[in-house]
Amino acid sequence: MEDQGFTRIKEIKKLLSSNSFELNNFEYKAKPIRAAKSIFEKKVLISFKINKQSELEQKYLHKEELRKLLSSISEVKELPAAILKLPALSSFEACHILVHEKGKPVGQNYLAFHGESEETKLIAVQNFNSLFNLVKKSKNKIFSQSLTLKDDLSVVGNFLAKEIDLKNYSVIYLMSRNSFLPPSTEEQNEFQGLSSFLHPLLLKILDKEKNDLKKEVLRQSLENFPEKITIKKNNQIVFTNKTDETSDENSNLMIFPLEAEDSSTIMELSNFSKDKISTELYHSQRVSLLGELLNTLQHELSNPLFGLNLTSSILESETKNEETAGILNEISQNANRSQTIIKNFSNLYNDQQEFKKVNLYRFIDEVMTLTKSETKEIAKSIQCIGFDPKIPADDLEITTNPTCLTQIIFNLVINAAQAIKENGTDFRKNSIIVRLTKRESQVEIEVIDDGPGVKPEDVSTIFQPFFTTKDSGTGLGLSICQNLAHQLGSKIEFKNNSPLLGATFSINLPVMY
Amino acid sequence: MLKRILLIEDEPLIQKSLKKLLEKRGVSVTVESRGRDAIGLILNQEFDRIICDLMLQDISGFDVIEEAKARFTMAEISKLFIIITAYSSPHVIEKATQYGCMLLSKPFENIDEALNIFLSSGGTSGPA
Repeated sequence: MEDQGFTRIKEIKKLLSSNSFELNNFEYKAKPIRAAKSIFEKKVLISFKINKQSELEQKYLHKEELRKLLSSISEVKELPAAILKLPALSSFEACHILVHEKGKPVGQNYLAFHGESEETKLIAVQNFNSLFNLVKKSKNKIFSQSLTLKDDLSVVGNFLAKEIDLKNYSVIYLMSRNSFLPPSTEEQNEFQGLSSFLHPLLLKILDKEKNDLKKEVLRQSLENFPEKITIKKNNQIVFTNKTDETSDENSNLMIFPLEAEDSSTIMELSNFSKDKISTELYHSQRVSLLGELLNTLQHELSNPLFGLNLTSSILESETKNEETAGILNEISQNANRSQTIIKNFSNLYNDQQEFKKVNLYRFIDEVMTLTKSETKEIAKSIQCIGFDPKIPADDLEITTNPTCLTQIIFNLVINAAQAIKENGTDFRKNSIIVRLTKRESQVEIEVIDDGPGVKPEDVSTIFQPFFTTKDSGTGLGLSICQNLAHQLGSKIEFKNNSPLLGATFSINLPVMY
Repeated sequence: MLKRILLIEDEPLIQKSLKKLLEKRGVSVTVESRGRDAIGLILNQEFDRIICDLMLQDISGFDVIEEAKARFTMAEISKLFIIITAYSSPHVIEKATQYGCMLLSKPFENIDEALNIFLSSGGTSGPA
């Protein structure tokens, strides 16, 4: 299981250190375009000078109007309405600006009608491209609405359209009087003149919109990150997603430099606090590692064990010495047993996500075998209540995640054994019982020990992470089991036995027929 | 009745045991641990059956079968080769099915049955 937390950290680190993101300019709100006005004007004026149509532009689009337009627009969607408001272009009824970012599956279709508010639609890239090519090929740039794309364009009759090819965007701007009379020469000139100042304006706005979007995505992923993230530049906090200081107590601080050569900018990540997330993280890593290890082990050991088994069988059948035959037989048996153990282990740790049908009795029996070394000398038994007395071992199949359930039962049995061992040195009279009680739609699995039980003051905290009564315990066992039980749609419950000593942990699992 | 068997298996104990068991049944067995050397044998010598492990030290058993295509048709390959493997994942089974070869997974549950399959005239059924 790939751990989500780490993937997110990686993503954020990548985002933060990518060249497109300038940390120095980190800001939440986009700067209004006014700030860049002077550069703009220069650009536009230069384009005026080099453009043959500059006379026309100065005639129809006065500098004052231009300045107003430039300073008031910060988004493309405002542009169609603003163009329609220009006095020299007031005879037009409708204005479209279609923008396609190269490589994207859809384009944006911004439109406005005279005296009405603007609107934004999407346009399929095929439609955009066919319109773009049509417009590009046309010399007089006059089109009839009947020709093309009724659904995408909200114009009637004749319209004027011109294409602008930017580095990362293709843009079409389009104006119509919504009449069937062809546009006048004057109107055509006015329309053509627009392009020379729309070009730099669009370039700037579109780039800014793209950057804003990038920053917005970054800001959101940083703000929604489950752990506390702080970005510092020269020890000054530039950004943080959580302002409460209380969560700092139990957490570890991870520090990532954001730029390879420059260590003045760092990201601090408060992580692995003593909460549920870190427990799950720790656990899922451990389990997936164990699963991989067991798989490798099975395949690596299977072959030589099989070889041992085969060879010793052959030698056994060939030898005439009885003692040698006996030894060879034992070698063969042991190789077989090792093979079975490793196979069972990897079956139990198979694909963690999978729910499977398992025979509950045999399953529990297998898990008990795995606890053998920890539970030595303690009597263990499986009791079946409500099972068919003729075939108790074959009576009940349940659909569950065997990996989760193995770990739960394994842990509970080991815990029971440790509790018993804590209490004394002679455990031959002690016992651990796993009791399976079959009810209508549920089966209850109880792990019952006759150890010292849980002290009353500890009962409320035993499922909390890092709670332990053992010197060498991590305190994670029961909290992990509880999480696993949740994954099975259940929970583990606890009670101290009465009047007898000891503790009982139980879990109810659904039985589907 | 089969006479000449090539056994490609790199686990020494399995190699020796199977050789011995097959020879007891009266066939001549050539053994080879390396896939590349096995390819040379397959292309230049005559065998009635080739038993091939998948996880060899140098190349995989499927590579060996691929090379055998230079001499044999797919139909011949499906009868000639029997794949043995300790790692019978769904992917491996699917690939064996593509070649139409029989597949036995190690450890064999019943040695005698496995030997019978090795000595059968072949091509009787798909992967087992």
